[in-house]
Amino acid sequence: MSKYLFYPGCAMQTSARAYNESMQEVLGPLGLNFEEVRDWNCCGATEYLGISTVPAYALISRNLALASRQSNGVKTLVASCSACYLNLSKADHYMAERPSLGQMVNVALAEGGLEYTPGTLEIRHLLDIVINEVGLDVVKERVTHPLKGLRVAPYLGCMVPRPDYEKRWSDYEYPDELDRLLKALGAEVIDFPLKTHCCGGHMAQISPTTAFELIRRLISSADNYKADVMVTVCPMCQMNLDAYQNETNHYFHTNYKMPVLFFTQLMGLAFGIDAKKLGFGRELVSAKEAMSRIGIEVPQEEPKTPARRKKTTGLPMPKMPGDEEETQ
Amino acid sequence: MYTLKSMAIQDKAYKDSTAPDFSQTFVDMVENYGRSYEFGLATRHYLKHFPLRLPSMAPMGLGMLSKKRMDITPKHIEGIDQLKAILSRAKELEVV
Amino acid sequence: MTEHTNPEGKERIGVYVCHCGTNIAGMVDVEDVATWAARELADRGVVIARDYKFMCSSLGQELIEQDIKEEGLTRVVVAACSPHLHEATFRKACANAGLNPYLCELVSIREQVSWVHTDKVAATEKSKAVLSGGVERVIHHEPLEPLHVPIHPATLVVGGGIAGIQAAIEVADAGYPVYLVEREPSIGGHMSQFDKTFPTLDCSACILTPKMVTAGTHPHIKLFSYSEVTNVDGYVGNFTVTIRKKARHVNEELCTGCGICQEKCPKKVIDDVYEAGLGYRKAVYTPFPQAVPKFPVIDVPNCIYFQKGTCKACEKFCPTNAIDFQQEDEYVTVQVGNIILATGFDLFDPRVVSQYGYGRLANVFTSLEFERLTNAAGPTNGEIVLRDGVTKPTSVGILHCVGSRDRNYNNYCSVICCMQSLKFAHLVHERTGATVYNFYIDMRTAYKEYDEFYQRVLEEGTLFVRGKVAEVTDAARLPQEEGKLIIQVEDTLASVQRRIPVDMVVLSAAMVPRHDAHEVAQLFGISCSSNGWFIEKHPKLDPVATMTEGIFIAGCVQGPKDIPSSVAQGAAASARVLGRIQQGEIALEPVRATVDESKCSGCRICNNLCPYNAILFHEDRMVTEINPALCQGCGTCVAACPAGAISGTCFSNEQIFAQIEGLMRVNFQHEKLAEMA
Ligand SMILES: Cc1cc2nc3c(=O)[nH]c(=O)nc-3n(C[C@H](O)[C@H](O)[C@H](O)COP(=O)(O)OP(=O)(O)OC[C@H]3O[C@@H](n4cnc5c(N)ncnc54)[C@H](O)[C@@H]3O)c2cc1C
Ligand code: SF4
Ligand code: SF4
Repeated sequence: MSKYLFYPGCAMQTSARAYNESMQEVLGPLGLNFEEVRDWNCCGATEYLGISTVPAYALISRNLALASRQSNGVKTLVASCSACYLNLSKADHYMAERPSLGQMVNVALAEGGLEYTPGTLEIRHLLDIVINEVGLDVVKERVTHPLKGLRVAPYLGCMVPRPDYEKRWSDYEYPDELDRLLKALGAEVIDFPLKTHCCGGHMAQISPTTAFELIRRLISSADNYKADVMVTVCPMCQMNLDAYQNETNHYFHTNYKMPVLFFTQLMGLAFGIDAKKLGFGRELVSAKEAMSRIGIEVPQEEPKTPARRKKTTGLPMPKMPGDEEETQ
Repeated sequence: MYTLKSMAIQDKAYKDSTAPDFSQTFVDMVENYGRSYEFGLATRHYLKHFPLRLPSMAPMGLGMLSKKRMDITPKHIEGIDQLKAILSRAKELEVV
Repeated sequence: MTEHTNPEGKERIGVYVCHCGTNIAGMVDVEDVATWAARELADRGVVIARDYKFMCSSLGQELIEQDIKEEGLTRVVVAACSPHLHEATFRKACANAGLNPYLCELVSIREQVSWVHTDKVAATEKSKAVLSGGVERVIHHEPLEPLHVPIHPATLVVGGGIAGIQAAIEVADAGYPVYLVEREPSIGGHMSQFDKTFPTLDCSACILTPKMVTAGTHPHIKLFSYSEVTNVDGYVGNFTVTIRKKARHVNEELCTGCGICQEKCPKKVIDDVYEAGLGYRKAVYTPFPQAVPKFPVIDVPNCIYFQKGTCKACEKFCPTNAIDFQQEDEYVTVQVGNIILATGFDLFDPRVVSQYGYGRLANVFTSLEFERLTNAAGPTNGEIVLRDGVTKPTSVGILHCVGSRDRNYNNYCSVICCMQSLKFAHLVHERTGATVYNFYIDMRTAYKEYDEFYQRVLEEGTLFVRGKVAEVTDAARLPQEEGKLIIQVEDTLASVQRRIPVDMVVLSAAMVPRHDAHEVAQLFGISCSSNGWFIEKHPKLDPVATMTEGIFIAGCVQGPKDIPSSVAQGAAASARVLGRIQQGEIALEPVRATVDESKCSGCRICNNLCPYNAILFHEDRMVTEINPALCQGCGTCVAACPAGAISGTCFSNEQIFAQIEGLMRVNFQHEKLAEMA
């Protein structure tokens, strides 16, 4: 069992309850032991840094300070929410890069009897831990019920791979970590072109019509590719795509019914865990119909968009790393 | 990006955006409870800026509530006094 | 060391301090330095010290010559610019006056003093110190004779692109033998892949093929195609080169080049080199119809017979029994006097710029793929079509600077991409009538008739958008974007974001150094920059020579350039080589390292350090030896030898210690003042 400190963030207990429930279920099979940072506070999401600097970093750093105090030799702090992950990394990075900021934040922290030396903790996203620490080989070993026949759109959102201070991701525009994980679960993974585009963040509150357009783009693209479900790694992305989908339909007179799930939910299913324990049913756009297809042979409909993509006739496509050798 | 945003807010260089107000509401709640409080946030913000949208948003809110994805009461952290002390010192240090 | 050598001024030393206009005199009180030297260094043997406005002028040199004759100087120290520039000048002046030129020492008070300091008092004192060091050092100089080595008249040219072909033909036309080594089955390089060449749009094959034929049939050129250099020994004038002729499995004596084997071979392979991955060839193939030489090769890893043991279709059908499955690699050793490296460039792999979708989105092409699309001998017979092989595009977006001028990849400009993109725009107009968009950061159309070509393409109606493309995607937002590739770009002239739907995207990828550039540089003992371009001896004044004597570079190995410049460099390199050959011999600096065999412990620490591969080790006697013709006197090994067994002429321990002593002799006035304060 590898031990990690864990920062859940506000959403894990509320809007992303399904994420939390499913994550707790798969930790054991993955050999992960998460210890929650005691009395953590909100990271400020995408709002606090917009209106202040030192207070915003102090708010984030209280968590870093609490975590490092609790660390007991554990260096890695895992966040499951992309916004939390980015904020925590940002504070750690900029406190080191701009010593004056680091000093001011520590003066403020001292007021609460806390301190934090940048670089003490290593801040990582849950997906990164699954891919790079647990490894896909272990994941594959745990799969008892491959998600055969399920077409999934891997959707990362914009905050995980960028700006990637520590160069942990394969590519900041088009990373393939989530694709590889879902393939390992046996799902059919579409090459989702908007995988790192924005879900709208808090635009759903600030400027709903802006958010609706961003949500529409994502859902309609996944739908074009005939995805059965979209898979996210972030509570905010899930919330926007799922909870505001109906409203978006309303606004554009469309009728999308795209279930949006957390990657941990699919991992749990593939590991043979009961769907009820994995928070299924909490999504507003029900995944029931899509899930009922797993295991049942359904005739594969030829997706309309990918016709422009790789075709067996015509000129050869450039080889990509990982492509199988073309044989005649 | 955030630098631009905070500069714009300071200079009041926004016309009809509700973003600064949203940020302020969000921040106020975090400063009071230590955790974000979506129900309060969403209702307050929508009431103020998009009252006409509220009816069509209601089913979603109800859905969230019935699926236990939103709490009606805010959550507090234990060290709220500690957090307040840290933040008030931080505000003094903020050079504008 | 307290006791000084040269007591009672055994040597008679002349000191010359140069003003270099105001370059030195502006920051160093040169007159003070000269009078100081005459006074304070008299006990070290300085009999005369002068300052002069331009020591390098004829009058300055004559001053030295005159003093040598009249004052009987036995040593000369010139305090001026870096030895790189004028050491040769002042040595020659000494030689003119009958003094051995190696008894002259240059002290740099420009690059190392006046140009890098801002405090005149301190700069003047530092000049005195380095001058004093030079005086102490020169006392220990010895008269030396330059090494003369004969020049072998044959030349090796590596790389049969346009630059290498040009160089080979020029040397051969002068009547001297050339070995031209090309890695691929045919010479021609990148130019053989193009259909048209900017700015004149003449047919690439039409102007290249005659040169290839000349190179292939020239009585003085021995062509080694499908070959590589595996070893280089020796030094300027006298290199021994081993060439590996890879087994073609085709007997060149018997083969007529009829091509029946290729027709009958059942194995189709994607051609990654010549067709840039866009077309197929057979397992037995000549890369293109005009290939020189005409003989095919069998690609062993892809040949059914070699992999599975049956097939031999080619053998069965060959009318002259030229197929030879038994053939093995052959190693040939040749002697040459000079080497020209013209191994060219690779195309940047745009897969890493993932936001442009190359490799994911079928209708995103690289520039080389597009060259093949337009080429009448290419996979589509010159039809510009989408990857499905049939559909003509109605709109095409051409992206400049992919991988160039981008600090994520390469900072440099690849020079040719703007012109090449304009050429593509013209070809699309001419052949399809499609709408063409060019996305550029800056339009770089320097050189003769290039900007005129730009004007012409503008007039043809190409749409130019100034801005770096953010993304190429197939995720449509609007109905008119369905089924298209959408180019998202900030138009920086109009200050708007644009989304432009097109059918085809062409990425004008950067030129990058050959993937194996570092290994090739090491093999030939020359230096390449960290990113892999080979470094010329001087960026302006010696662009085709390298720091290693006898090795020259030409074409894109040195950096991105177009065909005219590559040809010019090929010709320039050959002119340098011909000059050498005609001299018959070359005088080499006698500044060399030597090993005292009695002190050498055989530890071999120095063996791999020499940047010029001048060190060899005698296993039998367990001692190291330095080849004086290869050694450039850099001193690396001298410093590395733990036994102190290596010493260098002109930089012996004695000389270095004396120089340090000299530096220390000067009391730094202002430092003392600072201490007192
Ligand atoms: C898409 C594109 C379009 C272009 N269009 C034009 C144009 O229209 N007009 C123009 O003026 N310029 C154009 N250029 C530039 C032009 O290609 C170069 O200037 C020219 O090809 C450089 O020639 P070279 O001989 O230096 O290199 P190359 O053409 O690269 O030739 C090098 C040769 O060396 C061989 N080689 C490499 N390594 C070894 C080794 N270790 N041992 C033996 N052999 C080796 C290679 O196989 C190759 O044959 C274009 C470039 C590109 C990428
Ligand atoms: S090997 Fe034989 S068949 Fe092939 S080209 Fe030569 S002669 Fe023709
Ligand atoms: S033996 Fe090899 S090269 Fe010859 S025809 Fe068969 S596959 Fe082609």
